[in-house]
Amino acid sequence: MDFEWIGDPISVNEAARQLTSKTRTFYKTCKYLGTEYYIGDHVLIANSEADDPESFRHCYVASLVYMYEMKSNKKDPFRAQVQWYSRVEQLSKNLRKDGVHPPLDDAWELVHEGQRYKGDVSIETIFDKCSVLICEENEVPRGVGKQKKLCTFFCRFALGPKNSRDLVSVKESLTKQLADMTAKTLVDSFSAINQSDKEPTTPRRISTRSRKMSENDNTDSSVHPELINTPRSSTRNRQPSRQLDNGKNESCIPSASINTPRSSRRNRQPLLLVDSEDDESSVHTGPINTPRSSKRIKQPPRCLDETLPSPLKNSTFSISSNKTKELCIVIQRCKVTPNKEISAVELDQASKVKARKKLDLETPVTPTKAVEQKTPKKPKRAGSVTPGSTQKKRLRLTPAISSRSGNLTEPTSPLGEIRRRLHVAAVPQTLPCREDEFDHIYNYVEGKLADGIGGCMYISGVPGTGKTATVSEVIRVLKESQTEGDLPDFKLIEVNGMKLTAPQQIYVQIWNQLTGSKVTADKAAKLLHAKFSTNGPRHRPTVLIVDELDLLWTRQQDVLYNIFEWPNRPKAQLTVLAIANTMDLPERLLMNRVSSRMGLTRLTFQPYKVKQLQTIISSRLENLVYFEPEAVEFIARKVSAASGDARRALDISRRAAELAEKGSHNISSPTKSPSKRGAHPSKSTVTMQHVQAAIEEMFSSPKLLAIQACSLHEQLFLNALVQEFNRTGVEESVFDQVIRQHYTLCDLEGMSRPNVSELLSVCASLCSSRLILSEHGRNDIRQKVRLNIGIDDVSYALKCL
Amino acid sequence: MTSCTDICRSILLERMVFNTHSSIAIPEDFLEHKNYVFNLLKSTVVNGENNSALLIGPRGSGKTMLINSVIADLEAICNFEKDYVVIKLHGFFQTDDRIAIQEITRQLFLEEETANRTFGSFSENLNFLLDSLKVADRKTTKSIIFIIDEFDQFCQHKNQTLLYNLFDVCQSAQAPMAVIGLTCRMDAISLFEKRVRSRFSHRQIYLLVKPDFQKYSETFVSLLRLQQSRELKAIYVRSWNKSVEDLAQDPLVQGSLKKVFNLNPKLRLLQNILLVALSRLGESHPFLSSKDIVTAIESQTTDCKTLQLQGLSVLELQLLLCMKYLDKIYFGEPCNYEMAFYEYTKQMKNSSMQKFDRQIAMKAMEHLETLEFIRPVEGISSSKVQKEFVVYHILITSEQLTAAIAKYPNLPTEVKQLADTCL
Repeated sequence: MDFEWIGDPISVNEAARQLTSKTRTFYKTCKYLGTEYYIGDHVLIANSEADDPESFRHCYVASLVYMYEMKSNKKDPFRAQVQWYSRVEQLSKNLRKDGVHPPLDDAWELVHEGQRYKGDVSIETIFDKCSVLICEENEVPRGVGKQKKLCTFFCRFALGPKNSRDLVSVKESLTKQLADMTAKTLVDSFSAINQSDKEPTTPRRISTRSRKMSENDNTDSSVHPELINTPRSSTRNRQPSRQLDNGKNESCIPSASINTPRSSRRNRQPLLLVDSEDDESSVHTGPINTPRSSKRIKQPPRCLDETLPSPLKNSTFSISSNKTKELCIVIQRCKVTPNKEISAVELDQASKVKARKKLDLETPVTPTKAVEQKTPKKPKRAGSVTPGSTQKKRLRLTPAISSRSGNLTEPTSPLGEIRRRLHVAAVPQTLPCREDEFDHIYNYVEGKLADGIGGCMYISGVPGTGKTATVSEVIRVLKESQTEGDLPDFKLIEVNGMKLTAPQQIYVQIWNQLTGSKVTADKAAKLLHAKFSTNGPRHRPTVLIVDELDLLWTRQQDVLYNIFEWPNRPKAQLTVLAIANTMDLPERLLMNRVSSRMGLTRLTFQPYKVKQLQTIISSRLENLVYFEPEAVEFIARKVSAASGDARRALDISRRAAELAEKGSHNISSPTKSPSKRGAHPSKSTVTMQHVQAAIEEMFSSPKLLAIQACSLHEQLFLNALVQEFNRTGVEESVFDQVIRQHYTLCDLEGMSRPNVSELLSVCASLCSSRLILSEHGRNDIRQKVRLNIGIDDVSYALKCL
Repeated sequence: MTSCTDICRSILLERMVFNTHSSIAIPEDFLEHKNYVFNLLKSTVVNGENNSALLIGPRGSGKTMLINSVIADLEAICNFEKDYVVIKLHGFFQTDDRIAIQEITRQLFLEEETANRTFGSFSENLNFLLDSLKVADRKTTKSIIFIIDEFDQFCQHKNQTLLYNLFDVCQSAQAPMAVIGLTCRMDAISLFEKRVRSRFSHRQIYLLVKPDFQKYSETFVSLLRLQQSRELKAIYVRSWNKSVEDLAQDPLVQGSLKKVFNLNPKLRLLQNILLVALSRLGESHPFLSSKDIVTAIESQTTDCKTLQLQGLSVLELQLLLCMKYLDKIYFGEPCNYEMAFYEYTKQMKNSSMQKFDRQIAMKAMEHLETLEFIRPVEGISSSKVQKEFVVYHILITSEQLTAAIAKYPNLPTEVKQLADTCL
């Protein structure tokens, strides 16, 4: 449980540039938990956001670029700058290269993140070493996987430069960087010619490092890991002038740090460092290479323990070695007993977990000897697939629909084209009439992202007013400006209350979209709490869109509470866009503590006005003038008077276009229609009549027709109900009273009286089409019956007969 | 050696049970609707449009028949195996969203599913389905046609989750699909929740047609008419068809058919009636007679309560008469056992008939309750009240009682007189 620096503080010219006010002391080597880490080593970093931070599947992989101590940071003085590698599954979808051969290996393949990301982490989060093999594009090296205690990953690709979405060969990218670097060093050496002590460091260090790397893993020899992060092609032009200032800074800072009095400093074993890397000591020229600098600084271990921020770290670190062994055993067992695995696969998810636990439990029983005997066999298989992934793949079908044979044909007729454009699903280039709302949301989210803080916004409006469309448009534009580099990288999560089976499922969805792993709702809630209250090593700002918010209402309102609580946490960097229908949802439904957290940033989408609807329809039509302007206005007026729902307006215009198309077909014979339509364009334009017909069709309920389509006795029964209402003045009447009326009517008409069973079936059939409403049929002749349509409608319809 | 009559009978019976006959085709009035639906589905399959529509019509108006014929037509022009999938749901089978989603998944992934059938939790299934429908390239995926029978039942599901998601896919550019709902409720659209309604395209197709007796009797003939075929002798077919046409002209048959038509002009009832009539055919009875038809109609339309009443004992009948009498003089107010028994003893005072005591009458009363001729009034819990004082409503009309008494064999004349005074 101890941490100590080994060797002298070193001067680092690149990182020193970043030092502004805080004092940092750089070192080459440290010892933490009994493992020595050198600059350039590949390390595993605990992923505090995953359910098992130190599993090989979830932890981060990085190479150490610098290690330093920052005294101003009391909590976490020992820090490291790292160059990240990402897991294949962490790559965003558009980055994934499908044509890669051999295909990307989810388990042990890494992708070098190139110049995009670098990180600053606490050394305490590092928990083990690993090795990374740098390979050619089409080569999968042997010996990948976990051997003894060392994990070996391999890396074939690196992320391309900022704007590109391709993967590039890692070797190429590294050599390119190296070339950049040497070019830079030339400039450096030229500019820093006065400071002769600085000049030789960089190239010489390359040689030493590479030699050392070749001892560890022989593939990395050509690359200097330290260089990966240093050159910035974009900033290169500015460097020479800056270099001068930095040079000055650099010369004074290390000495300052050395001068700070350290209680535990001992003047012992000056040759310790020299022993391991004899070139190194000679490198340190100038102020660093003073005899004092080779002192070994030892931290008192107890002090370190106390400074650890969370008690959790203590425990996990102490068991980490045991745990890895156990994990190894579990893998082993899964592999060795294939029949067991199959049975586990056949069980459903829950029992699978149980089965796994069982395996876990069994492990202590199995003699360790046996396990050890089996270990040598393992890596060959484990290299290809890990047990977790195989089980998952077998359990889940790939969510996709089988593809069709023939391709879709595009509509050919002009009205067909109109129909396509007027479909609600057709995505317009711009969203007309929502510019203000767009700006509002965009500015809000952009501001939050730029400032690195969180917040939430409540967006309300009746259905079909473009809430979701506007928000997705905002996100699209944000993503664009993010790829252009104007905004920090952010993670987008979209959830829809309607697409959840229970409000608590939202945790599962959010967690799934964040990490891609599936956990139970309770677990996900815990993990999300942890995620949004800590600032993990690779924390990115998150934008969460919650559609149909009101569906997340529960009695306790804990789900809503959490959603609005997270953005208010200082470290969360979470922006929530909550969308719902009702404007007064916070006041009406939510408890004070929830609506208080929601804040006052609200935006209401007003229903579309006539003019706006007109613009929306005509913007979709663009230059196709097959709609009479009056027709468009008529639609707009009709819809805005009713609901202001843009979907309705589009549906009506689409149906009107269909009717017009049909009309034109009827007029002109289909054989020579194209020429004819060209000659008489008026025949295929959408006119008021078509619109009128479409509206009629969509909104009128054909009650008259429904009554006239009834059988004679059904009509008589309706009439009897009307008579009964006239007699009593009460809308609801009892069935046996209606029978009396019915029989009277029958006698009037001179018809034979139907019996009670027949009348009951008449009543039931009327009830099934909801022309009348009736009580439960168990009440037989005592059931209560009432009309579901207006009495005037019935009288009128029966008079028309 | 099967005779012509047997063959004829089996052909016709099959026709009544399965809707396979050409005469049971789409009525002319619906051809326009059929074209509408057909074009809708065609544009989904061929052009990849997303559509939704509701077919609304009373029970037995031919909604399912129409959609089936549309699907059959579609099969003729498109490649069913490769271009589209038809998913059929039924509101009475898929009674909640969980079952419905499992069923959709099953029908959608039939091939893969048989290899390893695994159904996770409801939410997993839902997410899986939604992920599937959120396809990356809609141009290359199969079109999906959802046909949802008893559509109104799905509106009762919690939050209308399934409907929302189906319509949401329809109105956003995801997998090409069409949702056709069939329902008999005229007010189906008002059942939608507001956001579901907004996503629905509001295409409503009403299958309503005025009943016409002329067409009805034509259908009657065409249902029974035989086609010339190898199995049947031409002479037999000719004479059978002649007999059928004569039958349709028979005034007795006409009158009975008219009666049925006035009550329920649906094809299904006619088929049921003919099924009963046809099953009487045999060697000794080669042709349908008007009597066959009339009795078949009677068997389908008799009042079941009247029949049941004829199986009661005299005491039970007397008790019922008493209760009906009380019901009459108290204007429909319910009565209890004590009242009914008091009335009974009053009437039996000067009678020569056997008098039953309290316990036996009580037993008779309980029997009446189990047969549901009488029914305890709702809202009063029967456990708290002594069973003598539980109040009952009588659930038979005086017409039913009169009819039953008229038909009751060997009823004592005193009861008949009692009935005359009571009713």
